[in-house]
Amino acid sequence: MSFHEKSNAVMLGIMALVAGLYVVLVAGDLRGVPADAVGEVRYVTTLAFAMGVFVVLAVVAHILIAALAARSDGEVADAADERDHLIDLRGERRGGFVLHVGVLAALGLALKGGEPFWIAHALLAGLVLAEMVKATSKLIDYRRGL
Amino acid sequence: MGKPTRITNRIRTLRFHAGEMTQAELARQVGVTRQTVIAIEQGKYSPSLEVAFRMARVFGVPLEDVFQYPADDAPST
Repeated sequence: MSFHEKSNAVMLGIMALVAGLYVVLVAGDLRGVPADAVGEVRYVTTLAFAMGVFVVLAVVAHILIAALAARSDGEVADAADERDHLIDLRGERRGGFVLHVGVLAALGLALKGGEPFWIAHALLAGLVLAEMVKATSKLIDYRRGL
Repeated sequence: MGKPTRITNRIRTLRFHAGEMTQAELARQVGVTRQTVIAIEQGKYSPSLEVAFRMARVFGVPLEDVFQYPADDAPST
C-alpha cells in the first residue's frame, strides 16, 4: 500500500470519527431545544473543537505513516504518478456531485429564509460528505483498479 | 476490477528475461511508483501511451511486445 493510499484510508477514518463526534455533540446540545430556537445552540465552539481534533489527528497519523514508509520502502514516501493523479481526479469528480447537492440545499434554505444553523450545517454536511465520498472513491480505485 | 480492459501485457515475462528485474527497478526506470507497475502488470490499470513507450524502451522491445490488444475488438469504422 502506497503512502497516498495509506494517507487516504487514514484520513477517511479520521473524517468519519470526527464527523461522528461532532454530530453526537451537537445532537446533545439540540436535545430539548424548540425547532424555532436552534439559532441559540452554540455550535461554533463545537465545530472549532472538532476541527482542532481533526487537524491534530491528521498530523499525528501522517507523521506515523511517513515514518513507517521510510523504513519499509525505498521509494520517495510521497511519490505520485499519473495513476495517483487519475485516481485523485475521479474522486474529486464524484465528491463534487455531493458538494453541489450540499451547496444547493444551503441555497434553498437561504432563499426560504431558513435558520443560519441549518444553512451552515447543510454546507458543512456537503463539504464533509464530499470529502468522504472522494476518499471512498480513491480507496476503491486503489484496491480494484481503474 | 473497475472498467474492464482487454489489454494484456507481458511485463512479468519481460522482467524475467531482463535479468529478473524487480518491479521497483522497472518503476524507477520508467518513472512511476512500484504500486503502478504492480497495477499495470495485474491489468488493473492501463498506462498512458507515454508510460507504455517508456516501459517498452526499458526492455528494448516494440510497444506491442509489451502490450497486446485483441484484433477482434478493433472498431469497424
